Amino acid sequence: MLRWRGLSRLFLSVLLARNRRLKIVNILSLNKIDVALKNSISPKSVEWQTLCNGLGARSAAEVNHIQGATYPTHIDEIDDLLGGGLPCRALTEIVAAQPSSGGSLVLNRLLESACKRAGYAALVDTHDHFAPDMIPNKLILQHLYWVRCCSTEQTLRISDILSNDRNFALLIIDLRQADIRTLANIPANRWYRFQRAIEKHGGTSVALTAQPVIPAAATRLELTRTFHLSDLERTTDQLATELTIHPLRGGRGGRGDCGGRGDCISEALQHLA
Amino acid sequence: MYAVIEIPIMALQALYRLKRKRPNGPIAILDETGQRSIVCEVNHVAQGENVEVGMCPAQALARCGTLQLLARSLEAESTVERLLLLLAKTFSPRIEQTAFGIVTVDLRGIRMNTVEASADALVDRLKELRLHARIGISDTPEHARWSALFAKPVLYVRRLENFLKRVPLAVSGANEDLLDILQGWGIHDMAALHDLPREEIGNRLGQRGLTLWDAVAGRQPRLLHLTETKPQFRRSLELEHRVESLDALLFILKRFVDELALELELAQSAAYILKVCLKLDNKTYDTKNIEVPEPSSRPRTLLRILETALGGLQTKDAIIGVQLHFETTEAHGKQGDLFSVAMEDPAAFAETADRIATIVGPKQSGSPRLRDTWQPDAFHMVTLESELEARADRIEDTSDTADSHRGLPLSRFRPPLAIKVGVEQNEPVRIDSGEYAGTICAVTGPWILSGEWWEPSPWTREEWDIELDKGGVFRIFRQRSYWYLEGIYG
Repeated sequence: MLRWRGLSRLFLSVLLARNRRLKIVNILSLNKIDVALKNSISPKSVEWQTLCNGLGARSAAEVNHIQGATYPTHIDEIDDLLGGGLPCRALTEIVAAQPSSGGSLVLNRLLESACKRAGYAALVDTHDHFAPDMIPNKLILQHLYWVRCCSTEQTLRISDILSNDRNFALLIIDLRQADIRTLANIPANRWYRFQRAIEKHGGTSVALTAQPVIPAAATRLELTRTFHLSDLERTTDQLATELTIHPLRGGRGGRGDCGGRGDCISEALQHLA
Repeated sequence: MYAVIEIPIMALQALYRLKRKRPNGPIAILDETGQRSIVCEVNHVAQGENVEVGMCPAQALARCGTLQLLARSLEAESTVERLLLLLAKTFSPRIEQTAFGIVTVDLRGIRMNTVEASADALVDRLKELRLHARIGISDTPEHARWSALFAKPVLYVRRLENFLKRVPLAVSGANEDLLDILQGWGIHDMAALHDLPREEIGNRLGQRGLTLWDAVAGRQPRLLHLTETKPQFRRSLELEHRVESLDALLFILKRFVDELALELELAQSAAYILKVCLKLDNKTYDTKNIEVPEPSSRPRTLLRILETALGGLQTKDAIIGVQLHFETTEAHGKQGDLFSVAMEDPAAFAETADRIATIVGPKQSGSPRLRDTWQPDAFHMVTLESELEARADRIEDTSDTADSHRGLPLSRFRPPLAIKVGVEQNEPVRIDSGEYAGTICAVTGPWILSGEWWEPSPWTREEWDIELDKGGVFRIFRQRSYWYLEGIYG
């Protein structure tokens, strides 16, 4: 790994020395680097192709293709914010920091959307908290593959396996009850690898967390509203419309795709250093 | 037109297949079926050391001190012969088992412009099975057989005259007296014999000379004795050495799967149950039946399923024998249904599910189904179906109850957390213990639930929904005077 990092750096520095117009705008993983050109090198040029081939990078067209498709959640707030739904071929992190902030409501809505889209959804449940009897429709359960884990490590292993299975259009990882320290100690490259697997296999992945912990998340949303006891008397449709979602990364109201990933760059660069 | 498929030094190749590394150096195969052991095959290195077929081991070792003597495996040879016949059948249904490691195929009625490509493909498939073959194609079975000797690896004889110049008379199989006479006349190759007048050959050499001349000239090609092959979906092997690792077992199973997949393909069948029977050193058998989610004849899929199923295998003793048997069904193409939901790759999902089950346990993954009871959190897990009826359009109409659309979903603790609750005037007012300790600022309840009073173990509980002043809506319940935190609404 160290050798590879050294070679990547050398390769980049040679290219940068040869052409100052080349600008690194994003780093998505330790050994998979997205490189974009600020001005004039043609994507068809030899330099561009050499760079892409050498670093396993993705062209702008490829990135656009990856970012184009969306997966509707049927939660208006999220769909409006993200321009139609969750980005396909990407990992979205939904942070539910407070208890009763609507994380389970979002989860159930996502499962419902999988059923409506006539697809299969997989739920990796870190500490076995999912309540199937709270699902409003039994049909939804027929589309659900639920894995009841007992540790964060198990969750990550299962998520890795499921991210390589093309049968699931939606993969949900519930990490809300996972220990924050354990999550923080997960090496960033593990998340980036997972993100690349999602991209490769074309699914949509959502991680529900209690704190922002996933550096590879293309989009990060935070549920900020806290529900009260009186809300239990209201319908789920009403409650879903009242979810308050604050974009932390990506989305229309967020810092944008490039800017939003900026902190990923710093995280990844720190790791590289 | 005929083709001859030949596997040279077949006994040796059959043994090579069983070994991970191809042995090097001079090697001779010993035939121990008779009263005394004799060398029945030698590789080219041993040939170079003047080791010849028919020698006894002592003679062979006297010629070459470094000679490796390997015992002939009739089981391995019969497997190779069977594979050869099966693959020859992909060429044409009319095949003859001409000799040991030689199959003649009648190509009449087959489009000749595709024959060479088919022959190349056949050689490649044999290579995948770790067998090196050569194929000769010509007008008569005899010419095809001779051309196979010069094939690298495929030879299609288009100009017979030119080809016959390359073929020495010795390969014709004529007896040595006749060959001596012809060589005495200065005739060393087939073309020279063919140039002689047939009548003169008949006058001087009699019937045996005429037979040889006719064979060379391609007159009156012989009729083939057609061979029938029936599919066999079972392979077994008694091992010389005890197998103690999965890796070694999978190496053997991979070979079996490749062979059986070929049988499946030719029989137009697909396997739906894979039966693995392991013979253990303590004379017991360990049998495992593995269900294939989507009947398949693809070797990669079947091997993947085997690998996953045997991933956590532990036997009581070392393995000394392996048997693999496929239960088969008719392979039929499936037409996609516009109104159903189906997995893209059910076999891949089966593998995924198996891998997950080995990590989390068999009952910890699947598709949940609610039990017909009012008891909270009552469900069981079933296998996720790979095909469902599309009912997405009816999802709005089939809601179970109006209440299920009301309120926030619960995130449960399993098992419920035991807590201490302060009660005033029969209402909970605070949680005194645990992570969620705090003052209760709002409460609704109690809701008394009970059921299965007709059973030996009836259940009853008193549920409360509470909100803590530090935030969060929870469900707690009291059962037999103990309090539990059931979950968080969110």
